[in-house]
Order: sequence, then C-alpha cells, then structure tokens
Amino acid sequence: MAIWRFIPFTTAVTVLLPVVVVFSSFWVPTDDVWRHLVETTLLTLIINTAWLAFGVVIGTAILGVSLAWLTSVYEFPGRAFFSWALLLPLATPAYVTAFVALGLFDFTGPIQTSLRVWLDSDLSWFPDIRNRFGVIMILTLAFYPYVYLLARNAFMSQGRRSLEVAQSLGLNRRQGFFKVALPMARPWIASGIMLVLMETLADFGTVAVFNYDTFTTAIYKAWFSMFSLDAASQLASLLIILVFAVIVLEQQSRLKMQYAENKKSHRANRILLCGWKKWLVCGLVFVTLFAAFFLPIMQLSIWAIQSVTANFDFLRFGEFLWNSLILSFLAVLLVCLMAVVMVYVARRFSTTSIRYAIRIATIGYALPGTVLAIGIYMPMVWFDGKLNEWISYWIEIENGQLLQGTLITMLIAYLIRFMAVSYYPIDGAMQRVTRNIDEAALTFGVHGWAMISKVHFPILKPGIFTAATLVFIDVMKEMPITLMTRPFGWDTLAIRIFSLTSEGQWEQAALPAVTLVLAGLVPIIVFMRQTEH
Amino acid sequence: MMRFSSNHFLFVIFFVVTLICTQNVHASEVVVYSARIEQLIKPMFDAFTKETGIKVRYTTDNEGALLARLQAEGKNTPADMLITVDAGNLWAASKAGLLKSVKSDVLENNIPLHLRDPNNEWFGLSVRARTIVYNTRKVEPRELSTYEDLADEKWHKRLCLRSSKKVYNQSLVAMMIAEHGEAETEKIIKGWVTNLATDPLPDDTKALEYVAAGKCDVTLVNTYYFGRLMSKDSNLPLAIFWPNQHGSGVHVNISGAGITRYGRNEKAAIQLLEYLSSAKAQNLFADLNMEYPANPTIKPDRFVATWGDFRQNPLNLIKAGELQTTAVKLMDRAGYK
Amino acid sequence: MSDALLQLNQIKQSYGQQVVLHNLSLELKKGEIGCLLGSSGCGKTTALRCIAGFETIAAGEIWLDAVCISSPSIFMPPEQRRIGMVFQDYALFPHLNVMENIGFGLHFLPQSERKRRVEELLYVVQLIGIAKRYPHELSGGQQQRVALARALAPKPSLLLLDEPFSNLDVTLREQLSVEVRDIIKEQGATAILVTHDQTEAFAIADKIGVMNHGEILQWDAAFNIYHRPINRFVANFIGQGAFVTGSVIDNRHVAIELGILTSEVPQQSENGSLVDVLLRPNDIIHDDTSSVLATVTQKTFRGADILYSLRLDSGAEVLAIVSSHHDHQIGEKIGIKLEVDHVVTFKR
Repeated sequence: MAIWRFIPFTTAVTVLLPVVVVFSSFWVPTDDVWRHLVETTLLTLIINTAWLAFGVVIGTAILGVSLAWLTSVYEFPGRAFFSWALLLPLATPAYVTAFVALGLFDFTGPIQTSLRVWLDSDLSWFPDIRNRFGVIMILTLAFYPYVYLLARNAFMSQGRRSLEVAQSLGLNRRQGFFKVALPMARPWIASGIMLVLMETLADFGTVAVFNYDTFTTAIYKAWFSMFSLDAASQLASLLIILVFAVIVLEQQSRLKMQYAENKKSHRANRILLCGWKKWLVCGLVFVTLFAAFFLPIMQLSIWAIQSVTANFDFLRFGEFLWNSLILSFLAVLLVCLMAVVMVYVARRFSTTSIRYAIRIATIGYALPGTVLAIGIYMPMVWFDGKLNEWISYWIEIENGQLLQGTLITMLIAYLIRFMAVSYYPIDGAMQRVTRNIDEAALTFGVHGWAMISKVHFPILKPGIFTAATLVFIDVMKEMPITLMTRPFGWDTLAIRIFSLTSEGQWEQAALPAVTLVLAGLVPIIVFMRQTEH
Repeated sequence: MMRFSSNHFLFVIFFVVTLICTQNVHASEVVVYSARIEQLIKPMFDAFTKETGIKVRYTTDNEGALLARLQAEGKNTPADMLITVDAGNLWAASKAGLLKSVKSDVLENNIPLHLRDPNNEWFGLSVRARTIVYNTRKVEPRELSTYEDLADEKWHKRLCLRSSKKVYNQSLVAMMIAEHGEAETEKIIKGWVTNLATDPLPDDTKALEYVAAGKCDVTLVNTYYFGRLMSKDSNLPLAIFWPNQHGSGVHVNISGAGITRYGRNEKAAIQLLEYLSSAKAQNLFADLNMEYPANPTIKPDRFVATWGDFRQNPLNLIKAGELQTTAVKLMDRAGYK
Repeated sequence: MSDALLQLNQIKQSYGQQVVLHNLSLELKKGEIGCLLGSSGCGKTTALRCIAGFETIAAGEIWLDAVCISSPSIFMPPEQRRIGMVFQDYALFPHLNVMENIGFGLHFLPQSERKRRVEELLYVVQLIGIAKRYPHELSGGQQQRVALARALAPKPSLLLLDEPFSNLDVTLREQLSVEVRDIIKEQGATAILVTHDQTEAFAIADKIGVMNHGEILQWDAAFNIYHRPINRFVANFIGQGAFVTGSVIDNRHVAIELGILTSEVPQQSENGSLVDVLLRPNDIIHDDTSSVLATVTQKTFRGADILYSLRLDSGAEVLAIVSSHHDHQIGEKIGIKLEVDHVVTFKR
C-alpha cells in the first residue's frame, strides 16, 4: 500500500521537473533581452496572442459544440459518417493545414491565379488570409475536434434526456440547449477548450507560416536568434502562469458541482430532421469537414503523387512509418496508464495540494514543444550523469550514457508532454464513477483490483479510449521532443516532415504527411466504433 | 472487459521493445549532431564510410535545440561533430565553449579564411549566397545595384521580403551592420520595410512566387531556392542579380561544421571534416542542394554555374554571429516582422 | 366530447417494422391518477413519451384539455403541452441545487413569485432544510422528491411519472408511493404513472391500464381490474389465483367441483358449456367443519396469513389465504368452503 501511494508522487515529480527547469531561469538576469522586448514588440505580441487565444477558443467552442450537438441529438443524412469523420482533422498537423491553405488561397495560389486570369482583374478585393483572421480560422479548423470529441461524450450520454427534461418544463429546444444541455456538458466542454487553449499558446508552426507574431514567436526568437535560452524560459514561465491561472479559475467556478452522469436512460432516439433542415445541416457539417480535412488532404495527395519518383526509397519510408506506429503505441500504453494512476490518486487522496500538483503536472502541454524538450532533456542528462558516476564506481563503463538515446528517455518525455491529453478525458470519465457506485460495489464484496476491473474500467473505458486516441495521434505528430530525445536512427514520419519542410520542400513533405494522417485515422476509426454503440 | 492476462502481455511487449531499441554508441564511430537535414549529409557520410571504414552516426534537429543539447550533455556528450546551416549558430557554439580548435593544414588549405573561424573552431563546407531575384518583365537589370539600394523610394511597393525571423536575413543584416554601423543599417532596413509590397512572407519560395506572380518586383533569396523553383518551371519570369559587385560583394552564409570539445573520437572526426572539405565530397555537398562549394578550387554544379560568377563578401562570417542579436533587435525596431 | 382531461384515441406507434403501440385508447378525468401497468417492453413508456411529445404517433389522436396535441398531422411541441414529467432516473440537473432545480420550470414567473412557489413546494415535499444542496448530496428518496417538486412547480395540466420508484429500495418505495399520491392529490394534479409493479399501481392509481404488446387490455379501477378482469391475461397478470373447470348452468350460475357459484352479473357463455373459472386466494375459506377436503401441496408463511396451495380431488390446484393461526403441514387434508363474490369465467 505504501508503494502504491508512492508511485503517483514520483510521476508527479517527474512531470513537474521540466516545469521547474523552465522556472529556474527566473533568477538569471536577462535584462538586455527584456528591455528590448518591452521597448519594441512585447505589447504587440501580447495583443496578438490574446486575440489568437480568444478567437480560437470562441471559434472551436462554437464549432465543436454545435457539431457535437447536431451529430449526437439529430438524425440527418450522413450523420453516422460525419460523427466519426469530424474527428479526422485531428490527424492533420495544424501547420500542414496552414501551409496548404496558404498555398491554395494566397495571392500565388491556384484560386487567385485562375480568378485573375478569368476576370482579368488584379483581384484587390480578394480577402488576404495572411492575417489575424486567417490564423484564427486555420487553428479553429485544426483544433475544434478536441471540443467536439469531449462535448460529444457529454451529449451522447445525456443530450437527448436533458432536452426532454427541459421540454417537460416548458422550454423549447433552443432554450433547452442553452439552459440545460450546455451547462450540463460544461466540464467536458471546458476540458476540450483547455486543450485547445494550450495547443494554441504552444503553437509555433502555424503562426510561422502566417508570419503572425505571438508570445511563442518571442520565445523562439529569444532562444534561437538572440541565443538566450534563459530569456526564452522566462517568457515560457509567464505562459505557464497564465495557463495555470485560467485552469484554477475554471476549477473554482465549478467547485461544488458534481457532474455524475445519470445512470441508465431511455434508448437515445435521435430527433429526425426533415425537409430543407436536414440538407442544411448535412451541408454545413460537410463544408466544415471539407475545409478542415478533405481540402488539405486532396492538395497533399496531389503533391505526394508528384513527389514519388522512380528512385523513391520505399524501404526507408516503411521504416519511418513503423517507427511512428511503434512509438505511438508504446506512448499510449505508458501515458494512459499513468493518467489512470493520477486520476485515482486525485480521487483517493483528494487534498487541495494533490489537486494542484496534478493540475501543474498537466501543464506540459501548454509549453512550446522545443522549450519543453530542453526542459526535459536537461534533468535527464543530469540524472544520467549521476547514475553513470554511481555505476562507474562499481564497474568500468565506456561512455556516459545509460538512459540518453534510449526509448525510455523518449517515452518519459512523451509522458510529460501528453499527460494533459490523457488526464482530462479520463478524469472526465471518472467523474461519472460516483461514491454510490463504489459503495454499491463494496456491498457486493467487490474491492481492490476487482473493483477497478469490474466496476470502474467499464465506466472509464470511453475516457480511456478518448485519451488513447488523442495521445496516439499527438505522438505521431509530435516533433521537438522526438527530434531531441530519439535514439540514433529512430526517424519517424514527423521527423521526415520536419527535415523536408525546414528546407522549404513542402511538396516532398506531402507523402510523409499524408501517410501520417492515414496512420492517424486508424485509431480514430477504431475509437468511434467503440463509442458509437 | 480487460483481462489481467492481456494486461501483462502488453507490459511484456512494452519492456521488450524498449530494451531492444536501447542502443549504445561504439568507439570506432563518429557521432554527428546535424542541423543540416539527413538527405543533404547522408550521401557524403556513406561515401566516407566506404572509403575509410569509419562508421558515421548522426541525429538531426534544429540548431538551437542541438546547441542546448550539447550544453546540457557537457562532458558526457556522445557527439564528435556539430553541423549547422548557418555561421551564427557555429559562432554561438564556439562562444559557449562547445567546440574545439582544430589544427589541420588540409582544412586551412581547402577553406578560405572568411568562411572559417579565426580560431579554427568551425569551418564552412558549402556557401549559400543570398542575392536579389527580380521579375524580368518588370525590372531592367540596370535598375538594380546593391542591397542598400532596395531601400530607395524607387522601389516603393515593389519589394517582397521573407520574415526577419529566418537566420538568413539576420545574418545579412548583421553583416550590413559590420559594414555600415547600426544607425546607417537601421535606416536601410526601415527603407526596406517602407518599400514592402506585402507583409513579410514565410519562406524564400513564397517570396519568389510573389515576384513571379507580379505582386512585387524584387526580393532577396538564397540562390538554391531560385534553382529549385526554376528547375520545376523554367518559364517563370525570374532572374538572379548579383548585388554589391563594386562594393562589399554578395552576402554569403555557410553550412559548416566544428569538432566538439568533449567528443571521444577526435581523430576520426577531424578525418571526416577534412574529407568533407576535400574535392571528393565538396561537389556532392554543394550540389545536393544547389549550393556553392566552400572550397574555391571546386566548380559549382553546371546548372548553378549558369547563374554566373560573383564576388563574395570577404568579411569573416564570425561577424554574422557576433552581431546577430544586434541585428534582430535592429529589425524589431525597424518594424521588420 | 366527454369530460375527460386526457384522451387517447386508437394510438399507433412503431419503430421501423416493430409495432410498439397498437390501437391504444384511454381516458382520464381531471384530478384522477392513472397508471399504465405492464411488464418491460409492453410499450408503456413509449405511450408516456407519446403523451409527453417526445415521440410522434403514426395513427390516432391525443387530446388534452379539449385540444388535439398529437395526431399524424398535428404535433404540438412538448414544451407547449403543459405536461410535467418525472423521469425514471430523475434527471436532476447536477449543476443546480435543490431550489434551482425546482424553480427551473418557473422561468416565466417574476422572481418573487417564483421564490414563493419554490418554497411552497419545498414545504410540500419536506425538503426545506436541504434547499441549497446539490443533487449528488441527496439520498435516492430526496432526489425523487426533488424530481416530483420540479415537475409539479409549473402546475402542469398533466403529470407523467415514468417508473418513479424503480430506483428505490422496497420499503422506501411503499412509503413514498403513498406520499407521492397524497402530494399529487393535494396539488390537485392529474397524473399518469408507468410501472411494472402492481402494488405500486394499486397504492397510487384511480384507474389502471393493463398493457401487453402495445395494447391496453383493460382500463379500469383497481377493484375491477382485480375482481372483474376482462380476459385471461389480465386475470393472470394481476394478483394471484387459479383456474378450475366449471360448467355453465344458466347465465347466473356455474357449477364447479366445490359447488355452485352464483354471479351477480350475467355471464356470456352458453348453457351447458365448459368454462375456466378464476378462483382468487380469498375466494376459498378454510373451514375445519367443511366436508370438502383438499390436500396441502405448498405453503408460504406471510406473517399475518399463510398462502396455501391446495390440490382438489380432481387434481386441480387452487390457492387459499388462511390466518396464520392455522398451521397445517404439507400433505395434510384440510376443510375448505367457497365464498365467491365475483364470479369470473372464461370460455375454454
């Protein structure tokens, strides 16, 4: 029992290490960089970042919630297909969507070019997408599935019922949605929005494509261009504090409410949409999906076909794919297991300090990838050095690396990065395991492992599946940590995309990008099959 | 319902795979940290291994991350060599004490003075020229003269530039600061910004496409981007102009390498570095990416050669590193995004 | 037009090929409590959902307060029907406390009136002390009462209760069902309850509809359902009893092996034909002096009385409730006599 308690604390500490490393920069004087930032771009960066975060949060909330509501409560042509297909944009890295969108709609893109020829005009009225609005739109299209997925969880289990209750109390469907279904789904929607907010703040690729300067841009500029990792870390710490404040505020506002799901409900018959309404809904959903997924994928596929030349190394390419898959698989196992452990600890010892420790532990997701990567790498190397010294005392070893350059390092790094992605859905599911359920099970003499496997696991399963799907896809897409911690030769699809795009070879990067998306589809499809029934 | 047997099964897979993939680095190898991507280094490494029997292991990442990694690893680093695609990061590595001075006549002979560290801690291996490209339908070559001239008001709303966040532009501005001083350079950059036809673009290819499509008339790019685009569509109305030929010369940067301070296989690493600077490797090194060989005795690729000869800026590239931070700040002040 | 508050005429409803409701009709007067009683899957919950407006109907009409609220061509949205509903799982809003839950349907009232009505209901359902608690902090019975109060708050013209006691334990169930009846009556509400538990139905309802395969077989008062079942299914489904063979003498008299039964109401069968006669356990009286003897084959001790299964000479089995002072052993022969007030016969 003592060891059981010890495990989660070790996890929490491990996960907290990079955050500590990032924060430790606070004592290093970097007045020079700061003075420069304050004098020049800082205000713009903050305004830009605030706009971006605000826009994307609002955008994904509206899009994700309404799509989830439509697909879980109404019946319309293609609903069964859309309900899982709407998750597909998750599999496409945001910066890829951004690049493709820019390629298509920009001044030099095929659309504007053909219009200029046909209309024989300079097209000065054509909206430029290289601006704030464009970035917000791309990130909204890329990140709405997080909100959609979690809101759908909530609506599937209680959407129709909550609507009925509202109607029986004299509210119409619209009022029922806003006054009942929406507030009841709040913890799930909030978790989805949290993930979106963190992803948005950490995003570097998309804003770089649009040359839209945010806080993250400043972090990278301080590090890579002004060679001050300390200044970069300080900026990153501010970002962490901001995200943490948002998390705490959200937590406080729903402290007393518990969202235990109502148990068995009447079979969820969807409301049949008729006439023009069903085609309108079908059309709107399709347009969203087309813009967010099919359009970028079509463009990528065209580039991919063009890039496969006669001397294409299929064997090497297969190796990238295999590495991506096996890494994602291992990461899913580890991250989900640890998230379940953390969720249990939060439930078992629900003291304030543990709750906050866990919140901090999930914050790795909000850090710009490369900053987190080095935050993970530094303590890891230090630990390796100490371990090495200790072992050298007993036996002769050749070089100073035991953990570095092994998959263990890499997996721990993924754990730190993706704790939030797996923690939130599983925690959401755990909210449905009420004390009564535990007590009911105890009266049947079920406890310990049996309680977990027979009573909890079936309830947690949807949450764990959600978590596993998200982690799998996120690890597939992940770049900075994979780049820094991978063992020699362990190149993945994402690494391939990085190396090609860093030299501006977007067309060549299309094939690994398409493959990455396709591989990411597998868990999404499996996942949806599991939850549809 | 999950059974415990399947739980155990998954764990066994997990650990077995983890252990299998744990690899150790052997002494008879050179380990390279490279910011130059795999496709542009692997052929030379393969050739080197074939000739000498020395294996090369490498990992790629971006420069900043590799530098931080080297620093964190300190004396325990497995890396023997660091390759980057610009001088600034080599300078930063050297300043952080991560590189080691190399005494090698071969390298000193092969690599010209301005393309290597005065203290021989790093060496350029290929040259990347950043030059002017113009739209042949809208600009007469005689209108063009220097980088500085692009700040002139005759280029109002005719200039396209890549984002200032790319190190290529930072190096260019750093070298301009070295030549003209900060105040003068800031005036020039402000001129550029006023002349912009559209917001700064995310990459060189995009800038070229904008010029070709007529959104603007001139831009500044690395020549290999021009090469890549032209080899896809040779009908594009684009041409190269070599600026500052009567003054300081064309701004060049390097893709270069240095030997790490704490590497374990120094001898083999120097051997690899010498090999990369030699005639055998230089063509391949440059041609793979349509760059110019650093070794002046080696001719560039035939296609690249058609763009004509030019005079390089002879100022030592260490200035690009030393003044990079100054350049970044200056561009921020000038409103160059 | 009758004086019924709620009227269902020949309702049909189906999911795809599967017919769920089949020519369902019923009437309920203002202030009455009706009950749809049937085993699971008989369509009783669907009937309730059709009344509430959560399902459309394929044929027939539903009238409420002399307004047609549902037919194949008319569909009044649920929120306009003024029908309150208590759900099986209560469906309390987890994000609102008790007061807010109860006041939820009163959004059309001004603040002060809403508060007054909520307080009134808190008093009625005896939850005054816990008005600020959240649903997860309440016991099952308390949640049930909140659900009832919430549904009653807007003074609906009709209240629907879907298996309202099925989530409670047995003792609480009996106590609450009486309480709920009192509350509904006190509020002057008209209600329909759906349940599979006949004691619950008996405790609450004025009218009971026994349902099977989407049909209401009999819509009547509890007394009639028990003593004058319309067919064999209802007779079997409600209460306990056994069938013995009888022969019709004339339209008021039937002979069975235990004697001749006299019916107050005329019977339909032809004279001389054989019929099945329903004997309820309380139709047979234990009488030590009786010359008619039966063998005890099974007994169930129930506290105040004992339920005996008895075999007659012909081999037919009947049930008898006997005061538990009389303890007889299995195999023993005991004297019995008939005391049948309601003769129920079915054609063979």
